[in-house]
Amino acid sequence: MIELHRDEHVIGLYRRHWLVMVQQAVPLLLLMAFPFLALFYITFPQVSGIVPFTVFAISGWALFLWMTFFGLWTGYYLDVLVLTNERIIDIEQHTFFHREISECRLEQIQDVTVESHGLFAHFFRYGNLNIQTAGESLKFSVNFLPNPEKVKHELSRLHLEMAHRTHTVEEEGVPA
Amino acid sequence: MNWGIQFPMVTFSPGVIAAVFLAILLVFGTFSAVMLYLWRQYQVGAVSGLVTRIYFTGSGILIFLMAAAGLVLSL
Repeated sequence: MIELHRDEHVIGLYRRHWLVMVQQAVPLLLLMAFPFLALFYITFPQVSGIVPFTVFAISGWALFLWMTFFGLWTGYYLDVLVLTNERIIDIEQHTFFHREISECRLEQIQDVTVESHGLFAHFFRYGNLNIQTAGESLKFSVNFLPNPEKVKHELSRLHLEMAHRTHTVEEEGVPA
Repeated sequence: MNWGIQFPMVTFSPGVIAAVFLAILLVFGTFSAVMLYLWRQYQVGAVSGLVTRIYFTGSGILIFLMAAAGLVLSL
């Protein structure tokens, strides 16, 4: 869970485009079709118990694919970019036990780039968002982000707001 | 179209079927426990209860089919 600071609130949660999940699910669907195709093309011996054995084997195979799908979905769901009114938090769930969280304050942002390659990217409106930050040259890269231009505009708006707020506080000065 | 590929002759031992079924249950249980832990621990927003229901309903049907087939094999 993300611990938010005082007066901090979440502006948006951004996950990869749903097409990524579809792309991962299609091979699983094809693998699911494999035993049914085998039923058509393989002559099974007329031994007792061949039907329940086939049901047992196909159900086991389907359960394995079902678990794989939800494992992939977990990775997809927990991989998220969180935008708050103070910072960006990039959570990357590589595997079940490999998690990486990086964050940067909005005023540290120096450059935001949006890349969109290919027909599918334009048709389904997804792309890569690269955020260059100051300091240790930290770079955030979020791939297959839906509507990356919208996120970029949101980031620019929040960055300006943050800069304006900082400037106002500096002008007013800190009371003695 | 039938290619006439012969499936090798096999005998279905109830002990082997039961062992395979239990091993699958063990893997499924461990996997589901880890996944549920991750959903609860790291959820950003809320993992819909619907997803959990879909996962366990689908798994339940498949496990039931396996158990029923295994039982028929063992009889």
